[in-house]
Amino acid sequence: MSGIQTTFVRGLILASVILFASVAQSIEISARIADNKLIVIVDDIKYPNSIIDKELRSGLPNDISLILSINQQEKKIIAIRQNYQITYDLWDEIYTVKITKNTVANSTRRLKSHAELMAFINRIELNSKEAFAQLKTGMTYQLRGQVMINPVETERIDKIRAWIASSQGHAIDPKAEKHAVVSLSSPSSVHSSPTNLDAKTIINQGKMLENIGSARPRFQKLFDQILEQYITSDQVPALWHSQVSTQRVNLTSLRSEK
Amino acid sequence: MKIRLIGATAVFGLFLEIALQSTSVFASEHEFNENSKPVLIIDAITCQGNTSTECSFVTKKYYQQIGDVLNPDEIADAKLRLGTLIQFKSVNIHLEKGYQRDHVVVVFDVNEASNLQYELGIGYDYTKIKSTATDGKKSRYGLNGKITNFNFLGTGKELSFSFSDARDESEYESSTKSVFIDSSENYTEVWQQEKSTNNSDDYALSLSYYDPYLLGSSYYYLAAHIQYDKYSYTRNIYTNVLAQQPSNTQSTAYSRANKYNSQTLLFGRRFGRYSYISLDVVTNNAGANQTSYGVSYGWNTEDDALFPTQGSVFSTRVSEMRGDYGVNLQYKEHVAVGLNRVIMFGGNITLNESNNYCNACYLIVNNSVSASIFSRYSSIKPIDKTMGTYAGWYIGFHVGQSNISKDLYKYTFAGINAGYTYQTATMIYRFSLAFNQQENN
Repeated sequence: MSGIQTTFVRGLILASVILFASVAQSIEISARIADNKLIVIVDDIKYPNSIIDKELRSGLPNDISLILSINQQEKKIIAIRQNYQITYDLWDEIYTVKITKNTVANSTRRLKSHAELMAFINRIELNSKEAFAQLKTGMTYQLRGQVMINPVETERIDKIRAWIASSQGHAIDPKAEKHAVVSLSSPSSVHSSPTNLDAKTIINQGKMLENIGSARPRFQKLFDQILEQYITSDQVPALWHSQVSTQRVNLTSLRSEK
Repeated sequence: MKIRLIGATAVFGLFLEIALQSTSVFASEHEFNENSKPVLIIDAITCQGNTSTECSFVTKKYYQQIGDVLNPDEIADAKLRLGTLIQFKSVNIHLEKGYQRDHVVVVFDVNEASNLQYELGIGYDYTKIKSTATDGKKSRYGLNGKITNFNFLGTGKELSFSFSDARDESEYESSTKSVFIDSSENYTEVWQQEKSTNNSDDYALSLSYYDPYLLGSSYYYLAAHIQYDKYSYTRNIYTNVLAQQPSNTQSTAYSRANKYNSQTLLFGRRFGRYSYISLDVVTNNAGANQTSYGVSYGWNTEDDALFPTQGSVFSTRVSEMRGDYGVNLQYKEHVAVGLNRVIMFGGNITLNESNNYCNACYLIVNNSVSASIFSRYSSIKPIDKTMGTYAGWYIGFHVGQSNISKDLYKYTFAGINAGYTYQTATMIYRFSLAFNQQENN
């Protein structure tokens, strides 16, 4: 295979990966009005198998949250969070799904198989009277929906940051000052002339015993990913998010939806 | 009849009370089942995938014990704590059935990262030295390397081996005028030119150990360091005395080579969110055996050691050796001026006071003060955050003054420096260049 062909194939693979990655995170959102309620259905959620397979069968509670907001000209009118807390029972081998809306417990479902669970979480339905009450005739709104797995509260992030600072920080390297090549460029390097390389100065010369500059591997770990989301975006940090799906709606269009 | 009625009422009341109590019990059980988290008892806490890590190192990040009621929030915290450690690529936690129903085994399934990191650095410094009588220049070539195991003995302790070689080549030229008066009271001006070339080589090998969690403590740490230094120095002096017939040229060669061993033991405690205090003992066999004792205090809020984008560092150390005292204070602050663009500025001051006469010293230092300020602009490029590949370059300057032995030897210095650093998951490359100017007063 020639170099150009190889480059083309690599480019194609890269493009496919990027395309797949973006498609994998997108969700479908549809809305309608019935019985004076806004009914929003989110489906076609491509959950990552690596997370779903491990986490949902872990026996520990896992949260899948839908965060829905209604905006008018970028101003948020209402936001609703519907949460499915899923726990796998190791003995009965069933899934219990506790549904809460804005932290208020709503109902509990028991699902007998993984397939049943996947069907349930792949189509999230949210009904809200409060959201319907906010909608006015003749106005256009933006519906924004996003699904996430195991969102992390701000308090938990702060707690772990405090733990990092108190238990991991201040890695010391007693001789880093002397041996780090960067220190050659430090102001102290010009001090060292042959005149002061006597016995005493070898001990005292620039010996920052509490040097805190020990470099460490910096591959992105779980907490780094969470922290980056927390710092760089206004989204709720989570183990996984879908893309934010947006739809323009008004009362007429919502009423005509079946 | 009345007694029977009372008895019947009492029996009915008793049944009613039992019935009501039973109802309330059922109601609470029903409510418990529907709304409370299931109660699971921890039978065991185990690890999977830990080929080179002690399970206890993993489970110490989880603050529950066998026999406790499982708290999922504690597991979520432990997962994030473990998700901060460089020893693991990923950590999953799951439950397995315990010895009986509602008893569980908490399993930490870890994917270990490479625990070795290599570092290689090359640097070059050029210093121009100027004084009223002497002009000089000095070149320094530096090479260093380091291998660190961040999971020594599988317990999160660190062991590193380093080498470094710093070679100095310098040249000094001086000319001095002397006036001689002979027996006939004739004045003769004699110019003496001196040129010296100096070469030195400082080669060092060292072994360092760092226990960030001394005896399992989250706060106490211990560091030990052994270093072997081989220092050789050669000086050639060419003296040319003018105004004498014939011109008298002398050549003198001087050299020495020394080997030193030094050992450091440091014990510290972290407190607050970013602060520490530590005690250290340093011994060496340079000349007579000497021991220095130090106390350090400081804080560090840098977000990364190699490519900091925010935070500050303050450090101070007071040391004593055979009646000599030294104090060093340093402060630096990083300020982000854009995405991955940082300005760092800071200052450093060192004071030394000596009460001892030093025979071996070329220059007798009674006391010295050295102060400098510095600044640096850095640009950082995260190439692949997932894999931990970063690159960055910097350019900076420093300016300062040293005053040794009450104006006996006083000089100002200034310089610019630049460097490039490249980090991968297991390797760090550093290149640095500096140009310095030193003016002796």
